[in-house]
Amino acid sequence: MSRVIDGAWEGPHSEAPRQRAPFLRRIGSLDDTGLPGGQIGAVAEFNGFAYLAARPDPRLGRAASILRADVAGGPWQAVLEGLGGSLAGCGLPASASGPVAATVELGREAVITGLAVLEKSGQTPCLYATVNSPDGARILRSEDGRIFTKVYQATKGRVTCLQHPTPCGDLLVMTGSSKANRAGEPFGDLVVGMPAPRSQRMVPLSPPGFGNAENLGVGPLAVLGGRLFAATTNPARGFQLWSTELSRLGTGKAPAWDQVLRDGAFRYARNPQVTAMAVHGGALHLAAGDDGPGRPGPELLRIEEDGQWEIVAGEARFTPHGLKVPISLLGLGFGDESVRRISLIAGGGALMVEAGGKIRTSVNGENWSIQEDTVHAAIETIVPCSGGFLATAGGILLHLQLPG
Amino acid sequence: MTSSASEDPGRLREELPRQNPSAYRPEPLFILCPGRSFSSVVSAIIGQHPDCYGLPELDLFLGETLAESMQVYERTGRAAGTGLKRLLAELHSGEQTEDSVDAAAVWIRANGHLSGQEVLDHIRALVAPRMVVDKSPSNVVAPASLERLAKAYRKASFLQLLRHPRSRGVSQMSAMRHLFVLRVMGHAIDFESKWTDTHIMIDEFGRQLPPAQLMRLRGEDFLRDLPLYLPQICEWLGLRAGGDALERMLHPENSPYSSVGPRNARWGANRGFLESPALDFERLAAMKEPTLDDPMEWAPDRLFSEATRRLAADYGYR
Repeated sequence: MSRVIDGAWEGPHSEAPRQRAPFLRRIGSLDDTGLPGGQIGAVAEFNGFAYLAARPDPRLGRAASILRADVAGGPWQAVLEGLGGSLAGCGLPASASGPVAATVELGREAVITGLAVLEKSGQTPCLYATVNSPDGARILRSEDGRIFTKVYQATKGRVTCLQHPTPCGDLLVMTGSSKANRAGEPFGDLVVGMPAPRSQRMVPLSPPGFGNAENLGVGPLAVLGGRLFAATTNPARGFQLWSTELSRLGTGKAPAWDQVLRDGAFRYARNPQVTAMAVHGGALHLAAGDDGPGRPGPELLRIEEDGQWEIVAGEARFTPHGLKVPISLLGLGFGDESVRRISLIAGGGALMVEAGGKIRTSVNGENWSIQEDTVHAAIETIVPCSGGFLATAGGILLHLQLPG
Repeated sequence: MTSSASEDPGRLREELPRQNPSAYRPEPLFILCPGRSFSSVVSAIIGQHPDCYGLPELDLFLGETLAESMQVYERTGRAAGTGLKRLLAELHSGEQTEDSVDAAAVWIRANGHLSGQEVLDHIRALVAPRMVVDKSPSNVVAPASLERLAKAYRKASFLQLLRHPRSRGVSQMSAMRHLFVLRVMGHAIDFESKWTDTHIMIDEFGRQLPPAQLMRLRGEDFLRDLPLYLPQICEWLGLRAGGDALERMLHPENSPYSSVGPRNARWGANRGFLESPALDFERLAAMKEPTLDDPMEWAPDRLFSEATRRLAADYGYR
């Protein structure tokens, strides 16, 4: 704060010289698969392959599909495709196991909302996909990355719109929407968990909307220090952050949750939602903001295990928890007013964000290095993979190497 | 400076640049808000910090010069320069009497050519090394005023002070009941857009500044829990929070400007505050926030606009 007192604006903490080593590598795009202009809805790495879930495009007669390619390079293979899809005509090789979609059927309107790898203790790691469709949400599972089987099908009208699949110990935890089947029963988004892959059971892990009707959505999720964290979307009042002990999960009962933050970290309706979470340095990092047109930019927050929190980059403010000033001295959107959303991930001992096409890495949150390479569009999804991260931006799949 | 100033205004004009040339003068704090936003009490509270000096309303940036600012202010139908006269009387003469106010008026007339910055720098020199705290609502009455202020004090600290748009509007309505005659005559009075437009202007200004140079403060939060927020204000401004600093801030009534002034300069801040400046902690702690949902008291046939509701939600009001 000495800047304000002595009037000498020193600028943000160091934004180190750009790194010269190659950082980005383009693995491919939906154009390469014969699906030009398509959108990627989810991405994952499993058994050395990069997997991506392509969104359906009714205008072009495309159904949802899962494709994969060797992370080190190689041709794309179709692994799964919805009914009425068009992969067969696009010259794409089918998976080595045989025809596409050999074991499960996806409706034409199905959407693959998430991919996640769960390593249950003592069992072979499996790739899971959450699928939403008018005839009920479902979860698919593959042990070899080629053949998917259905392990969960929502009872009609009960749980829909599964998203944010997150490995959580032996549980696959995700968010879902619950619908009332009896008059007066509460409904809304909530955290759910699938205790066992073949249980065909989905256990509610939180009350709908965490008991607040203004919470219009739940997600993303993250695990830190033996606790599961969930953020709510609340356009009226700002996001809320909740947490529960992992040991409370899987007991068959909805566990008790503690509120960690409220009111959009006291930026209110300017922080209606958390768009990404990542755990780094023993702390939870949140990207939060409103990506609507004309709205002030997003910010990055850091929450310690004990609930103490700081602004990494964003808007300084007075709060019931004390004065909060960005520890990097960088403002909203990392100082770029045009930034609408911050992408965030941790890996290799560093935290990485993308804001406005610029990729920054930091170890401590205070000092940031700007990578030489930029991305041509905002990163939509990003996950860790061997040697770095897999990210999608504007239909392109990228491999981002770990910062040296 | 003494009341002898009234005898020789020409001498004053020559002396001005030489006053305390080497004194340390911290950058000012400007409280930005539309009127009726708790600015008088908040300014007086912060101004009571031992390293601060709370000012009455000076209205120095309405025009390019002091004389022009006075002229612009007088167009509102109110007497201009009341706060400035009280301030100069106190600083030049050491007291606020009718005579010292008259002497201040002479000084103002003699120095009408000075810019707002030159006048405020004169005041800063007189109270150095304390930080001046200015709360003139006229600083945000129009973009030009704020631009003049920002151009003059690029490194100042700015505090955007908020109050719920309903309670601010009701407060202004109460203070301007006579203007309702105008509405009866067909003139619209829009307390809502005053709140919305002013805060949009301050918001846009703040976006141009480095982080933490402009901070936002909900007046209701601040007044309900002074022990929580006063240390944060001090930390932000680099002021000490130890010793008796915080205790002194809890007594805005001790400011020389927290009272009704002499006959020829009675106000210079919110009248209600000047008549009852001591803090009523129980009443403040129990302060409730109204709703955005009901029709506006000053326009019973209308609800708050979507733009106002959106901005108010951004500030945590509902």
